[in-house]
Amino acid sequence: MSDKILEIKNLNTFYGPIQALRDVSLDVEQGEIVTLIGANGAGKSTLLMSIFGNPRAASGEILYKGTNLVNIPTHKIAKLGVAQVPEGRRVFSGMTVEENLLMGATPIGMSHADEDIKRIYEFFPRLLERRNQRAVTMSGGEQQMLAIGRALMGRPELLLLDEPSLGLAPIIVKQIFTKLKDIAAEGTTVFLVEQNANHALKLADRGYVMVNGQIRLTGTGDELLANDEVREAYLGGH
Amino acid sequence: MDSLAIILQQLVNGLTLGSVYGLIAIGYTMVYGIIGMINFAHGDLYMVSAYLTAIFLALLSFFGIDSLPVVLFLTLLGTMAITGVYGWVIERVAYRPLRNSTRLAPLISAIGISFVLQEYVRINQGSNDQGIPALLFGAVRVPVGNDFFQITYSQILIIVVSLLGMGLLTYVIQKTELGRQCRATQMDRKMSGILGIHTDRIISTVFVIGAAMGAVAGVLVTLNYGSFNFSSGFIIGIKAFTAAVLGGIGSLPGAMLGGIVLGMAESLFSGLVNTDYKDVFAFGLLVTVMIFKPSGLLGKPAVEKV
Ligand SMILES: Nc1ncnc2c1ncn2[C@@H]1O[C@H](COP(=O)(O)OP(=O)(O)OP(=O)(O)O)[C@@H](O)[C@H]1O
Ligand SMILES: [Mg+2]
Repeated sequence: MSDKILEIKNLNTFYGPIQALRDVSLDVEQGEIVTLIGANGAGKSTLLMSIFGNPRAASGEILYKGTNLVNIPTHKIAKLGVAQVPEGRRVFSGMTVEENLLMGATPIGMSHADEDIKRIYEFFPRLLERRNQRAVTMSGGEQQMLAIGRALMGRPELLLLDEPSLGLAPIIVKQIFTKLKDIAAEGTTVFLVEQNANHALKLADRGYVMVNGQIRLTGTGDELLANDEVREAYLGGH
Repeated sequence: MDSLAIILQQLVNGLTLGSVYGLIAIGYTMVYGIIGMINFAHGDLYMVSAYLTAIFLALLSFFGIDSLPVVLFLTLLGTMAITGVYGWVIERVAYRPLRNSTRLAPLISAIGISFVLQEYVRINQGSNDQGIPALLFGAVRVPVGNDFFQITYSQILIIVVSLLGMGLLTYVIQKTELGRQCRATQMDRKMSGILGIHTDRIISTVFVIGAAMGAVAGVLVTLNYGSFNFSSGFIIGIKAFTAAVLGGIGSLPGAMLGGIVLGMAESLFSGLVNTDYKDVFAFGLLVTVMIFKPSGLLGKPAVEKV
């Protein structure tokens, strides 16, 4: 077996007649932090959602530890060890913080839930303070921490994140990215979708650039940070 | 009669009626909450459960089981189970295939299922009223001044079993893993799937729970009033639906509260004002609440689902 935890090959995904992903191929190695950057509407979220079969890929392969996910029902994918922090966080607004975390344990069952919740509270002390508060009443940054905590409750081997910096103050973004580094250091592979290219490329080992549903560029984080096209389009030309 | 005695009597009657509305309203509200459709066949499931009650009572007496608590318990359990199966099958056959079609399609399908159930029962059981012999006799009389009001044992049974059923369901929904999964699926089905919840199975479970709670109402009312026919589910279904809307459709405590408020209002109006106009009053109450609180007593303001 290769040490590629995720390998996407020639993936095509449609919304009705609209093709959102064109022949996308990329891979992520065990233990890496890989980022995917691209402008609004490039297809980044579609790619992450395709991994969970929603929408289903029309053709191509999504190999997770060698298993093709393309025809596996959505609810079985988390059990294989993939978790997603989706765009817009999607915490369960009417539930408390603790209930949200419990939901994250669904793929592995509740037997480790108590010990894992403690671990998450140590990792995000803010969540402990708010454990009985309904998620809807929390700030954007707290909700983002909750969405990440919820995903970690399933003890994933591969963590997918969709624009965790969206709408957050720079200082909070910095905190969240530091946490992502910690998560990766503990052995979870991180695949990070971002528009905040500067932060993401600095954090990541490698990166991909998506334009109009296609992969345009790839390289190490530093290579992409130095790339003229990337600087022009995503880093404000600085 | 002492007017205080009348009021107390009507409150007892209203609580009885309201518990029944509340039990049936649970099915409407949970199904609406999870898939956003009104299950027009739900009242007919209540009707089916009335027939099942009679069948179970006959079977148990045939086998010589005549201890009243045992008979009641087995009838309740058996009727809930079989009505639950009906609920499960209906969702699988009539609603799930239409899940990704227009919003109207499952509604039409539900109306179709309502006719199917009524005709199926009418053809097999006839269109005459059916009845069962009374099992519970007697009442507790409570003196008020130089008058009294009374609670029959059937009413006590209805109120106690309904409140127990509602309490148990509330516990399951609020405190258990299954309940959390139901709530999560209701709030965000796509995210629930990503978290590993088998959302189709949760939707089926909700149909089974709704049907079973309707069956509790069917058993209790049948034991109390004795008679029913193939169209018995219609009016009570509409009333329970009204209760669900009154309480805030989609909200479980709302359905129970809406049921009890509606039952109380109807009984008090009948007792104190006029019996003929009690339904006018009940629907008038609904309209009034809708004007001032369009999302119902405990409902949340509508938000677009993503
Ligand atoms: N549910 C949908 N139905 C139809 N088209 C969609 C749907 N979701 C996304 N699209 C289209 O697919 C394309 C890719 O969208 P996607 O959300 O994947 O982009 P993105 O890279 O995540 O953008 P953003 O950075 O704004 O989140 C866009 O053209 C979008 O309009
Ligand atoms: Mg996106």
